[in-house]
Amino acid sequence: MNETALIQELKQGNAQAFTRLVEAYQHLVYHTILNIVQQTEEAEDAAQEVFVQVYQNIKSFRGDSKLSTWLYKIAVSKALDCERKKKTKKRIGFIKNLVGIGTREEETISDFHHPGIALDNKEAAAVLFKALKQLPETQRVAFTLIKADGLSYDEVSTVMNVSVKAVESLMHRAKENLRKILHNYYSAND
Amino acid sequence: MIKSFFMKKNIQDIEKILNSFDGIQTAEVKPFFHTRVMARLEKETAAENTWMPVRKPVWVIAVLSCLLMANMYLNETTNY
Repeated sequence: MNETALIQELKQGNAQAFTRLVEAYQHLVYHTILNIVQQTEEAEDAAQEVFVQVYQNIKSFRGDSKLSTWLYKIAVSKALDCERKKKTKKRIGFIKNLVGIGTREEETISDFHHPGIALDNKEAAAVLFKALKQLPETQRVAFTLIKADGLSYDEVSTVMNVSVKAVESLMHRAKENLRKILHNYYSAND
Repeated sequence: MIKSFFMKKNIQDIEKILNSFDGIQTAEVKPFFHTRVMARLEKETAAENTWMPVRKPVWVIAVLSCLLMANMYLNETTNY
């Protein structure tokens, strides 16, 4: 697919071009979001929002980066919005329960099993996904983009709008923090 | 010695967990994703096109201020 031609057609409002775009990138966008939000319905919802935003803002796309990079940027941003909304909801629920006006819903913290992970790695990956939730946002994004989306450090630096050195540092700190979290996890379970 | 064995095992397990995303396959959306995107797009476009004279807060404040001033003026002129 010629990317420049596709962008041009999208800017002209060509519906078929939009269909081609969705079909070409739907799995990539969904996969990226799912790795961050770790919930299939929320990931599907956020992926839809990504394409709606692309449709509405395609005219502002200057073509400085690849179309896929732009999609990764929007996908990461939507996934993080989703996570922030969840945190806010959780805090409001906690306060409501504290003052006695909330409906005490038991939060079920179930393991997330990614559909694309091989069976022999499923358990280990579920532990890793849980540990990732404890990382700061930027470290979590850098780690998932590199390890789960298979992006290069260079690509991640463009998506996250930081230097390659910063990505290397984020990745190093993410691994160190994950080791600490996992070590504590093992200490608690021994 | 037993402790060091377990520590070594833990380190191995931790490294295994850290590498557990190796070979991950792309997760795929459910079929007819495009149809759902189009439905959402239509819904959002319809909502945007709905006639809303005072959509922005600044307009709401302006209209309320005008009503308040008109009310005050009417009060002043009729209160004799």
